[in-house]
Amino acid sequence: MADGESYIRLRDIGLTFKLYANKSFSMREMFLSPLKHGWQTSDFEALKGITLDILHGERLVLIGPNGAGKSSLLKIVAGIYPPTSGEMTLRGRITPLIEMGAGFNPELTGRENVFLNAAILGVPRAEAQRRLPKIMEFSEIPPHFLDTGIKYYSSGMMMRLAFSVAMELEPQILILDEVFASGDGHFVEKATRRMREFIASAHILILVTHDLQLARSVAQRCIWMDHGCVVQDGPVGQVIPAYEAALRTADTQPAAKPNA
Amino acid sequence: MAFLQELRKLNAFREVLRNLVSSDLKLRFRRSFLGYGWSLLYPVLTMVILAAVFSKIMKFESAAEMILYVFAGLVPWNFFVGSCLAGGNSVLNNEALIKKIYLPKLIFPLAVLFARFVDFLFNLAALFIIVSFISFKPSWALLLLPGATLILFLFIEGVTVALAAINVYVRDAAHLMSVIFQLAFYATPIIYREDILPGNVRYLLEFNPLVHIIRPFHSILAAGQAPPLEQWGMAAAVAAVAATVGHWIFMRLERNLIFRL
Repeated sequence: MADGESYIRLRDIGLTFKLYANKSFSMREMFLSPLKHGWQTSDFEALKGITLDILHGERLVLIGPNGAGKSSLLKIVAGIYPPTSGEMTLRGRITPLIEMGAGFNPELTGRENVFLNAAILGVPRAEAQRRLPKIMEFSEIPPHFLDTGIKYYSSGMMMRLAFSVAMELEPQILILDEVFASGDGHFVEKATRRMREFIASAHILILVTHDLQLARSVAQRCIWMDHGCVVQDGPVGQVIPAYEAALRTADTQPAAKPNA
Repeated sequence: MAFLQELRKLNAFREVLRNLVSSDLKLRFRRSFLGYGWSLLYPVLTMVILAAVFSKIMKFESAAEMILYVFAGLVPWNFFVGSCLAGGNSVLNNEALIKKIYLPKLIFPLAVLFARFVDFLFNLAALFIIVSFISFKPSWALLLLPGATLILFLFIEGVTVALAAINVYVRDAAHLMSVIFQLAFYATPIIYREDILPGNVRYLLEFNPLVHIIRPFHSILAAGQAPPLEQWGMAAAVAAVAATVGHWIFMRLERNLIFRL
Protein backbone atom coordinates (compact mmCIF):
# COMPACT_ATOMS: atom_id res chain seq x y z
CA MET A 1 0.00 0.00 0.00
CA ALA A 2 1.66 3.20 -1.15
CA ASP A 3 1.86 6.20 1.13
CA GLY A 4 -1.08 8.60 1.14
CA GLU A 5 -3.39 6.11 -0.50
CA SER A 6 -6.75 5.56 1.08
CA TYR A 7 -8.18 2.13 1.70
CA ILE A 8 -10.95 0.40 3.60
CA ARG A 9 -10.58 -3.15 4.85
CA LEU A 10 -13.51 -4.96 6.38
CA ARG A 11 -13.02 -8.35 7.96
CA ASP A 12 -16.00 -10.47 8.90
CA ILE A 13 -18.09 -7.47 9.94
CA GLY A 14 -21.30 -8.30 11.75
CA LEU A 15 -23.89 -5.86 13.00
CA THR A 16 -26.66 -7.00 15.29
CA PHE A 17 -29.36 -4.69 16.52
CA LYS A 18 -31.01 -5.47 19.78
CA LEU A 19 -34.62 -4.59 19.31
CA TYR A 20 -36.04 -3.32 22.55
CA ALA A 21 -39.77 -3.09 22.94
CA ASN A 22 -38.96 0.50 23.76
CA LYS A 23 -35.41 1.63 23.01
CA SER A 24 -34.68 3.23 26.31
CA PHE A 25 -36.32 1.49 29.15
CA SER A 26 -38.07 3.60 31.71
CA MET A 27 -37.44 2.90 35.35
CA ARG A 28 -40.70 1.04 35.56
CA GLU A 29 -39.53 -1.43 32.97
CA MET A 30 -36.10 -1.56 34.51
CA PHE A 31 -37.54 -2.88 37.72
CA LEU A 32 -40.56 -4.77 36.47
CA SER A 33 -39.64 -6.39 33.20
CA PRO A 34 -36.88 -8.74 34.42
CA LEU A 35 -39.46 -10.08 36.88
CA LYS A 36 -42.16 -10.45 34.30
CA HIS A 37 -40.45 -11.81 31.25
CA GLY A 38 -36.74 -11.08 31.31
CA TRP A 39 -35.23 -8.39 29.12
CA GLN A 40 -37.55 -7.99 26.23
CA THR A 41 -35.14 -7.96 23.36
CA SER A 42 -34.93 -9.75 20.10
CA ASP A 43 -31.93 -9.65 17.83
CA PHE A 44 -31.84 -8.50 14.28
CA GLU A 45 -28.79 -9.24 12.20
CA ALA A 46 -28.37 -6.32 9.81
CA LEU A 47 -24.97 -7.45 8.54
CA LYS A 48 -23.58 -10.96 8.54
CA GLY A 49 -19.86 -11.50 8.16
CA ILE A 50 -19.05 -8.89 5.53
CA THR A 51 -15.48 -9.11 4.24
CA LEU A 52 -14.41 -6.51 1.71
CA ASP A 53 -11.37 -4.65 0.50
CA ILE A 54 -11.92 -1.29 -1.10
CA LEU A 55 -8.80 0.20 -2.62
CA HIS A 56 -7.61 3.63 -3.59
CA GLY A 57 -9.31 4.84 -6.75
CA GLU A 58 -12.27 2.50 -6.57
CA ARG A 59 -15.77 3.72 -7.39
CA LEU A 60 -18.17 1.39 -5.65
CA VAL A 61 -21.92 1.22 -5.73
CA LEU A 62 -24.10 -0.76 -3.33
CA ILE A 63 -27.40 -2.04 -4.64
CA GLY A 64 -30.07 -4.32 -3.26
CA PRO A 65 -33.63 -4.35 -1.97
CA ASN A 66 -34.73 -2.31 1.04
CA GLY A 67 -33.47 -3.79 4.27
CA ALA A 68 -30.52 -5.48 2.58
CA GLY A 69 -28.05 -3.76 4.88
CA LYS A 70 -26.66 -1.18 2.44
CA SER A 71 -27.16 1.79 4.72
CA SER A 72 -25.94 -0.15 7.74
CA LEU A 73 -22.73 -0.98 5.91
CA LEU A 74 -22.35 2.68 4.97
CA LYS A 75 -22.80 3.70 8.59
CA ILE A 76 -20.23 1.16 9.73
CA VAL A 77 -17.68 2.56 7.30
CA ALA A 78 -18.55 6.12 8.36
CA GLY A 79 -17.95 5.17 11.99
CA ILE A 80 -21.53 5.94 13.02
CA TYR A 81 -22.24 2.36 14.07
CA PRO A 82 -19.60 0.34 15.89
CA PRO A 83 -19.58 -3.19 14.41
CA THR A 84 -20.85 -5.93 16.72
CA SER A 85 -18.16 -8.29 15.48
CA GLY A 86 -15.29 -8.24 13.03
CA GLU A 87 -12.67 -5.66 12.31
CA MET A 88 -12.37 -2.58 10.16
CA THR A 89 -9.23 -0.72 9.28
CA LEU A 90 -9.17 2.29 7.05
CA ARG A 91 -7.01 5.18 6.01
CA GLY A 92 -8.26 8.47 4.65
CA ARG A 93 -10.58 11.21 5.79
CA ILE A 94 -14.19 10.15 5.51
CA THR A 95 -16.79 12.54 4.18
CA PRO A 96 -20.17 10.96 4.81
CA LEU A 97 -23.02 12.67 2.96
CA ILE A 98 -25.82 10.55 4.29
CA GLU A 99 -28.24 13.41 4.44
CA MET A 100 -28.01 16.92 3.05
CA GLY A 101 -27.22 19.49 5.69
CA ALA A 102 -27.17 17.00 8.55
CA GLY A 103 -25.28 19.46 10.71
CA PHE A 104 -27.41 22.51 9.98
CA ASN A 105 -28.90 24.35 12.91
CA PRO A 106 -32.03 26.21 11.78
CA GLU A 107 -31.47 28.97 14.33
CA LEU A 108 -28.05 29.92 13.04
CA THR A 109 -27.44 32.16 10.06
CA GLY A 110 -26.27 30.91 6.69
CA ARG A 111 -22.73 32.03 7.38
CA GLU A 112 -22.61 30.41 10.82
CA ASN A 113 -24.00 27.20 9.40
CA VAL A 114 -21.34 27.10 6.72
CA PHE A 115 -18.68 27.19 9.42
CA LEU A 116 -20.45 24.67 11.64
CA ASN A 117 -21.04 22.24 8.82
CA ALA A 118 -17.51 22.65 7.52
CA ALA A 119 -16.16 21.92 11.00
CA ILE A 120 -18.31 18.81 11.30
CA LEU A 121 -16.96 17.61 7.97
CA GLY A 122 -13.41 18.26 9.14
CA VAL A 123 -12.53 21.58 7.50
CA PRO A 124 -10.72 24.15 9.65
CA ARG A 125 -12.28 27.57 10.05
CA ALA A 126 -9.60 29.45 8.12
CA GLU A 127 -10.12 27.24 5.12
CA ALA A 128 -13.89 27.51 5.35
CA GLN A 129 -13.48 31.30 5.51
CA ARG A 130 -11.38 31.19 2.36
CA ARG A 131 -13.95 29.11 0.55
CA LEU A 132 -16.98 31.03 1.72
CA PRO A 133 -17.26 33.27 -1.39
CA LYS A 134 -17.15 30.28 -3.69
CA ILE A 135 -19.69 28.42 -1.60
CA MET A 136 -22.08 31.37 -1.63
CA GLU A 137 -21.61 31.94 -5.33
CA PHE A 138 -22.29 28.34 -6.21
CA SER A 139 -25.34 28.15 -3.96
CA GLU A 140 -26.85 31.24 -5.67
CA ILE A 141 -28.13 32.49 -2.35
CA PRO A 142 -28.60 36.29 -2.40
CA PRO A 143 -25.81 37.91 -0.31
CA HIS A 144 -28.21 39.61 2.08
CA PHE A 145 -29.46 36.18 3.15
CA LEU A 146 -26.00 35.24 4.37
CA ASP A 147 -26.66 36.69 7.81
CA THR A 148 -30.26 35.55 8.08
CA GLY A 149 -31.25 32.51 10.13
CA ILE A 150 -31.66 29.56 7.82
CA LYS A 151 -35.03 28.78 9.30
CA TYR A 152 -36.19 31.61 7.03
CA TYR A 153 -34.66 29.98 3.96
CA SER A 154 -36.80 28.15 1.48
CA SER A 155 -36.14 24.43 1.41
CA GLY A 156 -34.51 24.87 -1.99
CA MET A 157 -32.12 27.50 -0.63
CA MET A 158 -31.22 25.29 2.28
CA MET A 159 -30.59 22.34 0.00
CA ARG A 160 -28.39 24.45 -2.28
CA LEU A 161 -26.38 25.75 0.63
CA ALA A 162 -25.86 22.27 2.06
CA PHE A 163 -24.83 20.95 -1.33
CA SER A 164 -22.44 23.83 -1.95
CA VAL A 165 -20.71 23.38 1.40
CA ALA A 166 -20.27 19.66 0.82
CA MET A 167 -18.94 20.16 -2.71
CA GLU A 168 -16.23 22.54 -1.53
CA LEU A 169 -14.63 19.81 0.52
CA GLU A 170 -11.82 17.69 -0.79
CA PRO A 171 -13.07 14.27 0.15
CA GLN A 172 -10.76 11.31 0.42
CA ILE A 173 -13.33 8.67 1.19
CA LEU A 174 -16.68 9.87 -0.04
CA ILE A 175 -19.83 8.17 1.19
CA LEU A 176 -23.09 9.05 -0.53
CA ASP A 177 -26.53 7.79 0.37
CA GLU A 178 -28.78 8.97 -2.42
CA VAL A 179 -28.43 12.60 -1.55
CA PHE A 180 -29.25 13.78 -5.04
CA ALA A 181 -32.18 15.73 -3.73
CA SER A 182 -34.65 18.21 -5.12
CA GLY A 183 -34.10 21.73 -6.39
CA ASP A 184 -35.03 23.61 -9.51
CA GLY A 185 -34.01 22.15 -12.84
CA HIS A 186 -31.28 24.67 -13.45
CA PHE A 187 -29.57 23.93 -10.16
CA VAL A 188 -29.91 20.17 -10.48
CA GLU A 189 -28.10 20.28 -13.80
CA LYS A 190 -25.33 22.43 -12.36
CA ALA A 191 -25.18 20.25 -9.26
CA THR A 192 -24.94 17.05 -11.25
CA ARG A 193 -22.00 18.44 -13.19
CA ARG A 194 -20.29 19.55 -9.96
CA MET A 195 -21.08 16.21 -8.39
CA ARG A 196 -19.18 14.37 -11.11
CA GLU A 197 -16.09 16.53 -10.62
CA PHE A 198 -16.44 16.03 -6.90
CA ILE A 199 -16.71 12.27 -7.24
CA ALA A 200 -13.77 12.24 -9.64
CA SER A 201 -11.53 13.95 -7.08
CA ALA A 202 -12.30 11.50 -4.26
CA HIS A 203 -9.90 8.68 -3.51
CA ILE A 204 -12.71 6.26 -2.85
CA LEU A 205 -16.41 6.55 -3.55
CA ILE A 206 -19.10 4.42 -1.97
CA LEU A 207 -22.58 5.13 -3.23
CA VAL A 208 -25.88 3.61 -2.21
CA THR A 209 -28.59 4.00 -4.79
CA HIS A 210 -31.64 2.40 -6.33
CA ASP A 211 -31.00 4.27 -9.55
CA LEU A 212 -29.21 1.64 -11.64
CA GLN A 213 -28.65 4.13 -14.46
CA LEU A 214 -26.73 6.37 -12.10
CA ALA A 215 -24.89 3.37 -10.66
CA ARG A 216 -23.67 2.39 -14.12
CA SER A 217 -22.50 5.89 -14.96
CA VAL A 218 -20.40 6.65 -11.84
CA ALA A 219 -19.15 3.31 -10.58
CA GLN A 220 -17.00 0.51 -11.90
CA ARG A 221 -17.50 -1.94 -9.09
CA CYS A 222 -20.88 -3.05 -7.84
CA ILE A 223 -21.88 -4.95 -4.74
CA TRP A 224 -25.32 -6.50 -4.61
CA MET A 225 -26.50 -7.06 -1.08
CA ASP A 226 -29.44 -8.91 0.36
CA HIS A 227 -30.37 -9.86 3.93
CA GLY A 228 -27.09 -8.57 5.33
CA CYS A 229 -24.89 -10.57 2.98
CA VAL A 230 -23.00 -9.87 -0.21
CA VAL A 231 -24.78 -11.69 -3.03
CA GLN A 232 -22.43 -10.64 -5.81
CA ASP A 233 -19.38 -8.45 -6.04
CA GLY A 234 -17.91 -7.53 -9.40
CA PRO A 235 -17.83 -5.06 -12.29
CA VAL A 236 -21.06 -3.07 -12.78
CA GLY A 237 -21.51 -4.57 -16.24
CA GLN A 238 -21.82 -8.00 -14.68
CA VAL A 239 -23.58 -7.49 -11.35
CA ILE A 240 -26.27 -5.04 -12.42
CA PRO A 241 -27.68 -7.29 -15.20
CA ALA A 242 -27.72 -10.19 -12.75
CA TYR A 243 -29.56 -8.06 -10.20
CA GLU A 244 -32.04 -6.87 -12.81
CA ALA A 245 -32.66 -10.46 -13.85
CA ALA A 246 -33.29 -11.43 -10.25
CA LEU A 247 -35.72 -8.53 -9.86
CA ARG A 248 -37.63 -9.71 -12.93
CA THR A 249 -37.93 -13.25 -11.62
CA ALA A 250 -39.08 -11.95 -8.27
CA ASP A 251 -41.70 -9.87 -10.07
CA THR A 252 -43.10 -12.78 -12.02
CA GLN A 253 -43.06 -15.17 -9.05
CA PRO A 254 -43.91 -12.99 -6.07
CA ALA A 255 -44.72 -15.97 -3.88
CA ALA A 256 -41.23 -17.43 -4.18
CA LYS A 257 -39.53 -14.64 -2.25
CA PRO A 258 -42.09 -12.91 -0.11
CA ASN A 259 -39.83 -10.49 1.73
CA ALA A 260 -37.33 -9.53 -0.94
CA MET B 1 -4.73 4.80 27.71
CA ALA B 2 -8.36 4.83 26.71
CA PHE B 3 -8.58 8.30 28.15
CA LEU B 4 -5.66 9.55 26.06
CA GLN B 5 -7.28 8.14 22.96
CA GLU B 6 -10.44 9.99 23.88
CA LEU B 7 -8.46 13.21 24.16
CA ARG B 8 -6.85 12.72 20.77
CA LYS B 9 -10.26 12.20 19.17
CA LEU B 10 -11.51 15.36 20.84
CA ASN B 11 -8.56 17.34 19.60
CA ALA B 12 -9.39 16.39 16.03
CA PHE B 13 -12.88 17.76 16.52
CA ARG B 14 -12.03 20.87 18.52
CA GLU B 15 -13.31 23.06 15.70
CA VAL B 16 -16.75 21.47 16.04
CA LEU B 17 -16.62 21.94 19.78
CA ARG B 18 -15.79 25.62 19.37
CA ASN B 19 -18.62 26.06 16.92
CA LEU B 20 -21.11 24.35 19.22
CA VAL B 21 -20.06 26.48 22.18
CA SER B 22 -20.30 29.73 20.27
CA SER B 23 -23.67 28.89 18.76
CA ASP B 24 -24.99 27.94 22.18
CA LEU B 25 -23.89 31.30 23.57
CA LYS B 26 -25.15 33.27 20.59
CA LEU B 27 -28.52 31.62 20.33
CA ARG B 28 -29.68 31.88 23.88
CA PHE B 29 -30.03 35.62 23.86
CA ARG B 30 -30.36 36.29 20.15
CA ARG B 31 -33.24 38.63 19.36
CA SER B 32 -33.69 39.56 22.99
CA PHE B 33 -33.31 43.27 23.62
CA LEU B 34 -30.79 42.95 26.43
CA GLY B 35 -28.93 40.12 24.74
CA TYR B 36 -26.01 38.97 26.79
CA GLY B 37 -26.95 41.49 29.45
CA TRP B 38 -29.33 38.82 30.67
CA SER B 39 -26.50 36.68 31.91
CA LEU B 40 -25.45 39.57 34.16
CA LEU B 41 -28.98 40.50 35.10
CA TYR B 42 -30.31 37.03 35.77
CA PRO B 43 -28.15 36.25 38.83
CA VAL B 44 -28.64 39.76 40.16
CA LEU B 45 -32.41 39.48 39.99
CA THR B 46 -32.43 36.00 41.50
CA MET B 47 -30.26 37.41 44.23
CA VAL B 48 -32.59 40.30 44.93
CA ILE B 49 -35.54 37.93 45.21
CA LEU B 50 -33.72 35.61 47.54
CA ALA B 51 -32.47 38.49 49.67
CA ALA B 52 -35.97 39.94 49.96
CA VAL B 53 -37.47 36.61 50.93
CA PHE B 54 -34.84 35.16 53.18
CA SER B 55 -32.79 37.91 54.81
CA LYS B 56 -35.08 38.03 57.88
CA ILE B 57 -35.49 34.30 58.25
CA MET B 58 -31.89 33.31 57.83
CA LYS B 59 -30.41 35.46 60.58
CA PHE B 60 -27.69 37.27 58.70
CA GLU B 61 -26.11 40.20 60.48
CA SER B 62 -26.62 42.65 57.64
CA ALA B 63 -28.14 42.73 54.19
CA ALA B 64 -24.68 43.34 52.71
CA GLU B 65 -23.27 40.28 54.39
CA MET B 66 -26.23 38.22 53.25
CA ILE B 67 -25.89 39.35 49.65
CA LEU B 68 -22.22 38.54 49.55
CA TYR B 69 -22.73 35.12 51.07
CA VAL B 70 -25.68 34.08 48.92
CA PHE B 71 -24.01 35.31 45.78
CA ALA B 72 -20.82 33.41 46.55
CA GLY B 73 -22.80 30.16 46.72
CA LEU B 74 -25.33 30.90 44.02
CA VAL B 75 -22.86 31.58 41.24
CA PRO B 76 -21.18 28.14 41.39
CA TRP B 77 -24.58 26.54 41.99
CA ASN B 78 -26.04 28.06 38.82
CA PHE B 79 -23.07 26.78 36.84
CA PHE B 80 -23.64 23.30 38.27
CA VAL B 81 -27.36 23.10 37.58
CA GLY B 82 -27.17 24.79 34.19
CA SER B 83 -24.49 22.45 32.97
CA CYS B 84 -26.04 19.28 34.37
CA LEU B 85 -29.55 19.89 33.08
CA ALA B 86 -28.62 21.06 29.58
CA GLY B 87 -25.55 18.83 29.33
CA GLY B 88 -27.55 15.84 30.49
CA ASN B 89 -29.87 16.25 27.52
CA SER B 90 -27.15 17.19 25.06
CA VAL B 91 -26.65 13.78 23.47
CA LEU B 92 -30.40 13.24 23.17
CA ASN B 93 -30.88 16.66 21.62
CA ASN B 94 -28.29 15.98 18.96
CA GLU B 95 -29.74 12.63 17.97
CA ALA B 96 -30.37 13.74 14.38
CA LEU B 97 -26.74 14.70 13.92
CA ILE B 98 -25.28 11.69 15.72
CA LYS B 99 -27.18 9.33 13.45
CA LYS B 100 -25.83 10.88 10.28
CA ILE B 101 -22.22 11.58 10.91
CA TYR B 102 -19.49 10.36 13.20
CA LEU B 103 -18.65 12.77 15.99
CA PRO B 104 -17.17 11.86 19.37
CA LYS B 105 -20.24 12.00 21.60
CA LEU B 106 -18.23 13.65 24.35
CA ILE B 107 -18.24 16.97 22.51
CA PHE B 108 -21.96 17.46 23.13
CA PRO B 109 -21.84 17.59 26.94
CA LEU B 110 -18.52 19.42 26.78
CA ALA B 111 -19.98 22.12 24.53
CA VAL B 112 -22.69 22.76 27.11
CA LEU B 113 -20.14 22.71 29.90
CA PHE B 114 -17.96 25.35 28.25
CA ALA B 115 -20.92 27.56 27.37
CA ARG B 116 -22.16 27.44 30.96
CA PHE B 117 -18.62 28.17 32.11
CA VAL B 118 -18.67 31.40 30.12
CA ASP B 119 -21.95 32.25 31.85
CA PHE B 120 -20.29 31.49 35.16
CA LEU B 121 -17.56 34.02 34.41
CA PHE B 122 -20.20 36.63 33.56
CA ASN B 123 -22.00 35.82 36.80
CA LEU B 124 -18.77 36.32 38.71
CA ALA B 125 -18.36 39.68 37.01
CA ALA B 126 -21.89 40.61 38.07
CA LEU B 127 -21.00 39.56 41.59
CA PHE B 128 -18.01 41.88 41.67
CA ILE B 129 -19.98 44.80 40.27
CA ILE B 130 -22.75 44.42 42.84
CA VAL B 131 -20.39 43.84 45.67
CA SER B 132 -18.25 46.84 44.89
CA PHE B 133 -21.36 48.98 45.39
CA ILE B 134 -22.04 47.56 48.83
CA SER B 135 -18.95 46.86 50.81
CA PHE B 136 -16.04 45.45 49.02
CA LYS B 137 -12.79 44.96 50.79
CA PRO B 138 -10.49 43.31 48.28
CA SER B 139 -8.47 40.60 49.92
CA TRP B 140 -5.52 38.52 48.86
CA ALA B 141 -7.78 35.50 49.14
CA LEU B 142 -9.28 36.45 45.77
CA LEU B 143 -6.09 35.19 44.14
CA LEU B 144 -7.21 31.69 45.11
CA LEU B 145 -10.44 31.98 43.14
CA PRO B 146 -9.00 30.25 40.03
CA GLY B 147 -8.15 27.24 42.22
CA ALA B 148 -11.69 26.94 43.55
CA THR B 149 -13.00 27.44 40.01
CA LEU B 150 -10.83 24.68 38.60
CA ILE B 151 -12.12 22.27 41.24
CA LEU B 152 -15.71 23.31 40.54
CA PHE B 153 -15.17 22.86 36.82
CA LEU B 154 -13.79 19.34 37.21
CA PHE B 155 -16.65 18.32 39.46
CA ILE B 156 -19.31 19.66 37.11
CA GLU B 157 -17.59 18.10 34.12
CA GLY B 158 -17.76 14.65 35.69
CA VAL B 159 -21.44 14.91 36.60
CA THR B 160 -22.47 16.47 33.27
CA VAL B 161 -20.67 13.88 31.17
CA ALA B 162 -22.12 10.98 33.15
CA LEU B 163 -25.65 12.37 32.94
CA ALA B 164 -25.34 12.90 29.18
CA ALA B 165 -24.82 9.15 28.71
CA ILE B 166 -27.16 7.93 31.43
CA ASN B 167 -30.08 10.03 30.18
CA VAL B 168 -30.00 8.18 26.87
CA TYR B 169 -30.41 4.83 28.59
CA VAL B 170 -32.82 5.88 31.30
CA ARG B 171 -35.14 8.58 30.05
CA ASP B 172 -36.60 9.09 33.51
CA ALA B 173 -33.28 10.51 34.63
CA ALA B 174 -33.95 13.94 33.16
CA HIS B 175 -37.16 14.34 35.12
CA LEU B 176 -35.67 12.89 38.25
CA MET B 177 -32.72 15.27 38.01
CA SER B 178 -34.75 18.45 38.21
CA VAL B 179 -36.37 17.17 41.39
CA ILE B 180 -33.04 16.11 42.85
CA PHE B 181 -31.55 19.50 42.07
CA GLN B 182 -34.37 21.24 43.90
CA LEU B 183 -33.73 19.08 46.91
CA ALA B 184 -29.99 19.62 46.64
CA PHE B 185 -30.46 23.38 46.52
CA TYR B 186 -31.98 23.34 49.98
CA ALA B 187 -29.63 20.64 51.23
CA THR B 188 -26.66 22.83 50.40
CA PRO B 189 -25.89 25.96 52.41
CA ILE B 190 -26.51 28.65 49.78
CA ILE B 191 -29.40 30.69 51.10
CA TYR B 192 -28.55 29.84 54.71
CA ARG B 193 -25.33 29.47 56.60
CA GLU B 194 -24.02 26.19 57.88
CA ASP B 195 -24.07 27.40 61.45
CA ILE B 196 -27.83 27.92 61.59
CA LEU B 197 -28.24 24.15 61.43
CA PRO B 198 -28.38 22.36 64.79
CA GLY B 199 -25.26 20.34 65.51
CA ASN B 200 -26.96 16.95 65.25
CA VAL B 201 -28.02 17.70 61.67
CA ARG B 202 -25.01 19.65 60.54
CA TYR B 203 -22.74 16.61 60.16
CA LEU B 204 -25.06 15.40 57.39
CA LEU B 205 -23.70 18.18 55.20
CA GLU B 206 -20.43 16.29 54.98
CA PHE B 207 -22.17 13.68 52.82
CA ASN B 208 -23.25 16.26 50.27
CA PRO B 209 -20.47 16.57 47.70
CA LEU B 210 -21.69 20.01 46.64
CA VAL B 211 -21.05 21.35 50.11
CA HIS B 212 -17.35 20.57 49.75
CA ILE B 213 -17.19 22.11 46.30
CA ILE B 214 -18.90 25.36 47.31
CA ARG B 215 -17.15 25.87 50.67
CA PRO B 216 -13.98 27.39 49.14
CA PHE B 217 -16.17 29.95 47.34
CA HIS B 218 -17.77 30.93 50.62
CA SER B 219 -14.36 31.26 52.25
CA ILE B 220 -12.82 33.30 49.47
CA LEU B 221 -15.72 35.50 48.39
CA ALA B 222 -17.86 35.89 51.48
CA ALA B 223 -15.40 35.61 54.34
CA GLY B 224 -12.45 37.01 52.43
CA GLN B 225 -10.17 34.32 53.79
CA ALA B 226 -8.00 31.67 52.24
CA PRO B 227 -9.75 28.30 52.58
CA PRO B 228 -8.03 26.03 55.11
CA LEU B 229 -6.00 23.15 53.75
CA GLU B 230 -8.52 20.44 54.64
CA GLN B 231 -11.19 22.36 52.74
CA TRP B 232 -9.02 22.33 49.62
CA GLY B 233 -8.25 18.66 50.15
CA MET B 234 -11.87 17.59 50.44
CA ALA B 235 -13.00 19.72 47.50
CA ALA B 236 -10.22 18.46 45.26
CA ALA B 237 -10.89 14.84 46.27
CA VAL B 238 -14.61 15.12 45.59
CA ALA B 239 -13.96 16.74 42.19
CA ALA B 240 -11.36 14.12 41.23
CA VAL B 241 -13.75 11.29 42.09
CA ALA B 242 -16.61 12.94 40.16
CA ALA B 243 -14.47 13.53 37.07
CA THR B 244 -13.00 10.01 37.10
CA VAL B 245 -16.27 8.20 37.72
CA GLY B 246 -18.14 10.46 35.28
CA HIS B 247 -15.74 9.81 32.43
CA TRP B 248 -15.59 6.13 33.25
CA ILE B 249 -19.39 5.87 33.03
CA PHE B 250 -19.40 7.81 29.80
CA MET B 251 -16.73 5.66 28.19
CA ARG B 252 -18.56 2.50 29.23
CA LEU B 253 -21.81 3.67 27.70
CA GLU B 254 -20.53 5.63 24.70
CA ARG B 255 -19.97 2.76 22.27
CA ASN B 256 -23.57 1.63 22.25
CA LEU B 257 -25.23 5.01 22.73
CA ILE B 258 -26.09 5.14 19.04
CA PHE B 259 -28.25 2.03 19.34
CA ARG B 260 -30.27 3.50 22.18
CA LEU B 261 -31.15 6.85 20.64
